[in-house]
Amino acid sequence: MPDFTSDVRARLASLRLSATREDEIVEELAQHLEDRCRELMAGGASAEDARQMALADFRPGDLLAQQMAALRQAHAKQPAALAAPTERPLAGLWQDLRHAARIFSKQRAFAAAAVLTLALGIGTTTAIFSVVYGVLLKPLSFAQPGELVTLRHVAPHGAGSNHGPATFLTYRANQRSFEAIAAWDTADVSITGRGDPERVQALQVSAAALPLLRVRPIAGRGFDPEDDRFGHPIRVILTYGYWQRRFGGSDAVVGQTLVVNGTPAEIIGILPASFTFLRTRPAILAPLPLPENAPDRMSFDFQALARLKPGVSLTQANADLGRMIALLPPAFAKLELRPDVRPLAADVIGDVGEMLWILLAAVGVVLLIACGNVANLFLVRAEARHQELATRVALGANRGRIARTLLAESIVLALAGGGAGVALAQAATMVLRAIAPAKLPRLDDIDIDATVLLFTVAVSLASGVFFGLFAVVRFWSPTITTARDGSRSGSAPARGRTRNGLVVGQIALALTLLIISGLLVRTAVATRQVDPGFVDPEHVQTFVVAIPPTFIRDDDRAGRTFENIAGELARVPGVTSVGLSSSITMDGENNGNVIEVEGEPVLDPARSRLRRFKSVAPGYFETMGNRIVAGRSISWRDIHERRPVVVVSEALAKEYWKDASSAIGKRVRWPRPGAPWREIVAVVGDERDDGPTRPATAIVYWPLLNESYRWRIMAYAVRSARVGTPGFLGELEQAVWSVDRNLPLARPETLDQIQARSMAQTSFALVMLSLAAAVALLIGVVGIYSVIAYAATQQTREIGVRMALGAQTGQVRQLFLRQGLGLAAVGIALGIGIAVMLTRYLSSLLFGVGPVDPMTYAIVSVAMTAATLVATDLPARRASRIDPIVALRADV
Amino acid sequence: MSGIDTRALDRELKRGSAELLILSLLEARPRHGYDLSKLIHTRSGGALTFHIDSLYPLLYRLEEREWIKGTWVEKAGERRRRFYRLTAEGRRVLDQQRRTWAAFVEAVRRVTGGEHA
Repeated sequence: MPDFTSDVRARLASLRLSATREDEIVEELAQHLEDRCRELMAGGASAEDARQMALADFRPGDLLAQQMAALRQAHAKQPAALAAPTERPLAGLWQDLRHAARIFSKQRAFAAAAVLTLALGIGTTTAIFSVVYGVLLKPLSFAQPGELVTLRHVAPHGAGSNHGPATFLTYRANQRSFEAIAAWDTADVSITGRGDPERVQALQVSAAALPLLRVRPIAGRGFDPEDDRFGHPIRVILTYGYWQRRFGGSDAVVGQTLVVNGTPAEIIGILPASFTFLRTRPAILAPLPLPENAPDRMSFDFQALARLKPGVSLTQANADLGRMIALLPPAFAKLELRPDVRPLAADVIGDVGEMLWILLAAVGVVLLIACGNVANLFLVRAEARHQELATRVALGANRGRIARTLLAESIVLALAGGGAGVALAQAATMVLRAIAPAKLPRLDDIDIDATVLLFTVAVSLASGVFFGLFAVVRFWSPTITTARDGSRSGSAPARGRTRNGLVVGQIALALTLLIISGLLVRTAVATRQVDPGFVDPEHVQTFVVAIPPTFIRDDDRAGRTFENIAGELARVPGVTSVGLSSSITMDGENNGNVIEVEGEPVLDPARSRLRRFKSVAPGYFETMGNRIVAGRSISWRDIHERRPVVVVSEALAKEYWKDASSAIGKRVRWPRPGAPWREIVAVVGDERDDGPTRPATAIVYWPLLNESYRWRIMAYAVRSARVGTPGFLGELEQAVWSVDRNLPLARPETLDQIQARSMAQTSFALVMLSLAAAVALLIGVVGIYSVIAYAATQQTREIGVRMALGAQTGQVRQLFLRQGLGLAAVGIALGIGIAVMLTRYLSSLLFGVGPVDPMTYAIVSVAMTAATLVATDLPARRASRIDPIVALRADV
Repeated sequence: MSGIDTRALDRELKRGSAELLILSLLEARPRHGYDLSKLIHTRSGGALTFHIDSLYPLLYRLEEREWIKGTWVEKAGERRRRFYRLTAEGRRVLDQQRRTWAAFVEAVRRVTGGEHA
């Protein structure tokens, strides 16, 4: 007699019977089958035939388990581990999680779709969070970074936010709140005497700076207080990177001499590799010597940092600074300075904070859309199990238990999505570091570290609970009637509403992101249309040449040298024009001061507006492609003969004299005793010196060798079709060195690169937000597609009836298109509402376009509608091709 | 072999008539599952067939409702078998279902055969 026990047991495997009960049922049913088998064999069947015929009593589709699933005994509590007195909820959850993982290993397509969607959402969120954390939230890499502060002033009249000897020395002598105060500044210096001359950044610090930061040199020593005094021999400390690059990491370097700006300086120490300071990239540290006594001079050209004494708050520190402002020389009173002590970390971040938070919000929205999508997938899937869940509730199964089962499944999916998302985020941060967007500080601090991972786990869990809750709430109380009559469609309209609601939400959020990126695209277009004050920037090569007085003491000789270099550069093949200026448009130099205009009342210098000062030599405007609006260009004779002439920008001319031509012949001067009046000989077109999205800057162009600019650091601009070709820059260098072998070239950049840098933040936001919007659109469209496709399969029978009654395929298609477009219309209306509310907060990123730009809104809405049409039409077409006979036969 | 659509029968099983059949067959004396399936098949003249995957879930459901009670009975020289007998509650339900069924049949008879009365 064949043995049927294993046949029966296999059919019970999906149930949760207690072991004894399962044995009983196996025994009973196996007996039944044996009885039947015996009877068939008695009737003449062979043993094997009898066995097959007996087993045929089990119908396909696992009916036994289905019918048994409704029974209480099929849901026995699992034996508690090690005789625990009561079921521990967490142990149960762990069991549910493992169970869910097993289920998904069998439902691969569903799991893959959900995990992929979540990975996109969680991955982008993790990537941007790693940036936000690295740039904004991670503590600075100094000991007790919370105690480090920067000392500034609120300067209502524009002058005095930084420090000069007067403020710094007063504060250092009188402060009560700080362990120490240190001054710092950066300067580009020339290093000569070792191979090719080189121009590098020097971080100038007072002696207190390194001890205050708790930074110790890895070799040699730091600065002494005597380094803070003028006239003391210069000493320098090398940064680790420069020591490795320039000296090959040789220990013997301490005590050697480095020629800085033509002056020999002793190397006294080497900094550790970990040293970074705010946004500086120094090669060397040099002293910042200050006069012994605080003079009355109102100069504000360096910064101050300090470490709070333990227990001192920012408020107390500000009060202390406020007290000391009153101790400044009387002349300072009219500046009306107020204290502004703030965390040093705030200084690193600069103005990118707002943009990063906006980006994080944007990817949060992408995550929300992804969750909506997975919630929809989940609802559809849970619906297929509705009968099982409803029966379990009807038979008194614990509802919390069912909720836990559903949540365990969603959490398993979310964690898998999080895992894949981390991989995605890792790749994204690597790309980000490789492209290194300019203006993004602390790029090296961006990493997927423990904190970021913790964030990812938290976000994954929250996402899992979020989209799992939709299914839990929907199935929390399946009606008893649903269970009894065996129908699966008991509350179908309600569930349909939830699904539709989710899709509408996704469309609305995706539309919002699309509108935001649309506004940024319009900003970029508007920015391109601004006349920046130059043309064809890709054909202009710029670089800086400095002639410190230690190289050439005599001003006239320095002037001749600049002219000779310009001449040599003009002789390089392919060069069409050469000019020079102390600052190239948009290069970030903002040397400014006030001017006195003849005939205008002399204003209090502290209260009048700062004008940008540039010192120029012939050829600058021509090379940049800027217009001479009125008057004549200046010449080398103007420079060498020190003629009292000056050039102003159109914006400045219009401010004083209404139009450019009236400005010619008028006189202005630097408001210092003895400064000569200078005649305006030319008015030139405006430069967007502060970036294309800022108003044109009012600029005064002094001829090179003037009373207001003594630094002799000049940027050359060379126009040529050969810019960017190999060897061209080398030929320019050779041309410079043919005049003086000791002059270093610094910061070689094309005008194009300078322009791109000034727009880097907007471009970065544009690219990132566009990516977020694209992902949102993709997920949203897939969401519409799956809802319509699911509706189509659910309505197969209805479609069959309609078509049997004579409906045309076109009518059926329209049915679904109407449904899809209806959802899209509601989503778009909602999205426009959200966008109108949110985009006001973006105005700092926008230029040339309002936050509620009808054109952007219209284009994006039309595009969204088109995408919806495509997503709807695919399943609609399939539905309209249904064979009515097949459809009617389908047992829904 | 079945003269009635088995899917329809399944639905009936879920309703009440199948319960009525089982309870009726157990009224006289306890029976085991195979016995029940054969009795239904033969007494209905082959019109009704309970498949194994419907019959036992039904028995277990009636047992969970405490309308019937299954016990293992051992007879000398045979394997033990599980016999089901009617409980007091089962007997009460049977009476009620019978009355309902009779009323239903009578109602149907009045409608379908009314004109011959």
